[in-house]
Amino acid sequence: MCKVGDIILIDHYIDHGTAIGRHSFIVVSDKNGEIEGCSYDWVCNVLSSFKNKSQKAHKMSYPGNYEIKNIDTVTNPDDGKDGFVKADQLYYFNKAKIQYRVIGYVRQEVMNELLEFIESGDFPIIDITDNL
Amino acid sequence: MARSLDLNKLKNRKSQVKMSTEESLKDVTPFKWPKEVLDGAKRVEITDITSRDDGKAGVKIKYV
Repeated sequence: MCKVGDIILIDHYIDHGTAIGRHSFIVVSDKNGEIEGCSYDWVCNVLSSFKNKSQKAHKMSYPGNYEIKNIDTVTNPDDGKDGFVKADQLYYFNKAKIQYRVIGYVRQEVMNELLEFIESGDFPIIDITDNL
Repeated sequence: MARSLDLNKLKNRKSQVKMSTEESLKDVTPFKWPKEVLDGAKRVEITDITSRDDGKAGVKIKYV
């Protein structure tokens, strides 16, 4: 069973029309809903690791990106790296249509801060429904 | 247990649904209209025959 705050690895997903291989996401909502006539049961954000200092500076220049430190998460496997969440991009998923596994979770205090950041942030929100 | 993201709070934020044309049309089967229709010799008349008793949806297509 998967819940809000869990970090999941999704085997294949579509991003802006392009098929992408395995990637990690954070579940930010597990409430059922409907968008553009399609049912969903998860809303997730992409979670990526920083590759180096310059990439971190570049990624964090976007107002919609939110830093997640390695100590803010508990995962197995653990790459030991800090990372970021693309908080402005909401991916809508239907669990029945994806293959995934739970690899860990974000600590609750940080998860609440992330949700607050998304809800009150001063950046446009992009809904991504390719995977429904 | 963490709360869920409150999507209602995002309603007033600029939002766009991202879906490629290719993805949008992947399950669409183009209608194979007969030659007379494509030539303009006949027109298509579509009648809604959805059953009010069992709720089954359907249309009747006639070339006239």
